[in-house]
Amino acid sequence: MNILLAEDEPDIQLVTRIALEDEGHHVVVVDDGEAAVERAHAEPFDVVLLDVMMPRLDGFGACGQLKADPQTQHIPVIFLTARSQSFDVRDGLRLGAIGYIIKPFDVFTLADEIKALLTQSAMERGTNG
Amino acid sequence: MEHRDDGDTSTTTMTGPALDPLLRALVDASNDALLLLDSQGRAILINRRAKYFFGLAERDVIGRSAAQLRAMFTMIFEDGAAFDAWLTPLLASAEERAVREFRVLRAEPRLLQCFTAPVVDQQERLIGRLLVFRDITREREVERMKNEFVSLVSHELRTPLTSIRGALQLVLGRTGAGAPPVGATPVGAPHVGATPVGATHESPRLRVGATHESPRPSPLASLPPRTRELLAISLNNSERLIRLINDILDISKIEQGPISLRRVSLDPGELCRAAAQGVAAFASSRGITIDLVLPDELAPISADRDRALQVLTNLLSNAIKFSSAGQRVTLSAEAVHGAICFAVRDQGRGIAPEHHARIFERFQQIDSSSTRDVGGTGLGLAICKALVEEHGGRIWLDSATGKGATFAFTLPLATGARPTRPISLAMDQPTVLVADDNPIILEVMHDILEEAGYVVAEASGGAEALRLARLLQPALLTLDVMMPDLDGFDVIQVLRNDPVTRALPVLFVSAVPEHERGAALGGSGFLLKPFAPEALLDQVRQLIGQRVLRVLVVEDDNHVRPVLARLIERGGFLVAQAADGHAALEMLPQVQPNLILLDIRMPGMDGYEVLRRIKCDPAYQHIPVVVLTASDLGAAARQRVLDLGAALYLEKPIGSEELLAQIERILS
Repeated sequence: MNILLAEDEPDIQLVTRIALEDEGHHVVVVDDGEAAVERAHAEPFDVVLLDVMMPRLDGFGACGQLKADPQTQHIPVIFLTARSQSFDVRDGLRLGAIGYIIKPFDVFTLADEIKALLTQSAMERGTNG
Repeated sequence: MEHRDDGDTSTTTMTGPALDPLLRALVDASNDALLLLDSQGRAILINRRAKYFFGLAERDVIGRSAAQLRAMFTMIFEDGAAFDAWLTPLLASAEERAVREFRVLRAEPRLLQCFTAPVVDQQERLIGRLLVFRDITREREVERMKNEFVSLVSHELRTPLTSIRGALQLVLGRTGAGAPPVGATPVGAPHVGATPVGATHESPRLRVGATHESPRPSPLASLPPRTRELLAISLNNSERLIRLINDILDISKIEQGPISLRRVSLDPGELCRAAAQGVAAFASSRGITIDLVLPDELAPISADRDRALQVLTNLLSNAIKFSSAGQRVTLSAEAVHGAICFAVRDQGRGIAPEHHARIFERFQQIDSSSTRDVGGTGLGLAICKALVEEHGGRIWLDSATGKGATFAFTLPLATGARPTRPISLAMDQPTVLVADDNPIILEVMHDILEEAGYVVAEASGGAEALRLARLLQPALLTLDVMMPDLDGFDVIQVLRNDPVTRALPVLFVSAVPEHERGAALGGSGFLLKPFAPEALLDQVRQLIGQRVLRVLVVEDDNHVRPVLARLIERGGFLVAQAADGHAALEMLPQVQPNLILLDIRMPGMDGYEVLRRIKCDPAYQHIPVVVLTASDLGAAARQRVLDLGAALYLEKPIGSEELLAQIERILS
């Protein structure tokens, strides 16, 4: 998969990138929501992973912009967040994200969880089966 | 001030100035606001704090008529009408006490906890009513701040822990450490692939042992053993910290009020297998074998999947922690009356009986020396207890020192399922709970209802009715009014105040016509004894409007099928799954679905043929079939399935909301 990761913590950037690259995926890392929106216009991605709390433009804002733009609205968005209160989840899903992965995540199952969320979303959108 | 006309209750016997100065001083020193009303509802005493809270002077209050006082209260409280409606009926009562919270309208609004009790004289005659108001504004504020703080701290701690755990995991590789599993499924993640589909027949004893993951070669496989060991300690402890944070968040949520549950119908066996799988790696790292003991068939339970899994995982992790290498941990599930009982048994050192009472309290660890090396948080069992009880089940411990321990809990069966039969085989008729203290009437009603096809449970008194209503969650309760322990009107008041039973339809059965009182208390119907069998059945049929409906999902894609099933379960349906056309047709007699969701493109027998055969069979041709298929079959496909008798042709893409709405529309 071609994955775009927006995350402001350099440590988490590195760990997440290694975890996904070890599974054979290509990962592009950006530092905030604005950079994520910009990058998503420049090259094709299979999925965008967004941290929620980021400087300049946060994850919710970035998701909103991606979903509002016909050029990027088809890219599945998954939030990677330390938040675990239910109201956050609803906010994120209302914005058009296909799911949430809560930090701290297990680096060995991260890729599988992303794939599982993509399968479910594809089923609902009818591109599978 | 010495004069007191004993017995004169109608006038101003206790007006402010007449009060003993010492008593007056005491009353005014109270930090609670006090207001004493006489039996006519007039104020006869107000203390300093009350005057301050309400912004009133003594002359505003004392000597005013009850009506003037009530009007004044309406202005003082934010919801004056509610206060009036709360207090007025209590004024005439010589027994009732009550507590409720009201907000006072002031420049700086305060939240008051209002307590009221009757005042009686030595002859037990009602002479007035005392009102005590306590300012709990600050208390509430502190609670709210505490919860906010916990949630904030949890978030702040998770961020660095993500890096720490991730980095250590990557260094050590998949086999790096054996810690209990952390967290449950992330919110929003599907449970794809977790459920084996169709009629899988597990042998009664299924062993779950080694990890299922393929070992990932560590980038630093050549680490010196000592370094490896130290890094493993760091990883284990970072995971322990994550568990602690999760537990603290859970406890904080539990303290804030009832936990909201997403109840669905669940297969207890599948739940056990998922829980055992989840702890398999941890168990094998400690040299523990997990045995699963499951009957071939278990009726579905009504529970929140993530929460039920959390309880099982927690008990299994505990059992593993307190076992020594080479020992076994057994997870079993069995049907008990109206519920499934899950039990986790270990062969560890056991727990002395004197500790049993405290073990479900938070931060209770019986033997601190033994827990230090296994890393418990002390919150797990308190959380388990809260979660199980929120489901309407109970949890207990059976153990003695040196004999191992068994933790067991119950979760209620899904409404309408037969207690002894599993979902795939159940012609599940709704359960009716019959409560009557007369054994002959119980027997008669039992026979009438059972003959009509209902599953019947009996309660011989009010207390038993309450217990079983909570445990069984029947589709209907028939309730005798006059019972020796608790009468029917008492029972319904408890039922209506319990979130689990609040919506349970109740049919009163009584020899005394008290229809109105029954209805006022939330009764759904009233049947006068003696009654004809038809009259009983008519009422029962009418009241059990909401049957549990079954949907059979026929879909060959192993990824799509479980996702569809969960989606439909979320709508409150029981779901059976078939992986191909032949399996679907074979399942019909057992499942007796109310609706079939059918894929068209399947290997072997395709959806057209399945549809044709269903519509040719007089036993099943009435079942509505919804065809859900990929959008590339074209317009001819739609016409073809509709010609074959399908109720509806749906094309993917379809949103989950729309699919559920369509299913509900067809079944309504």
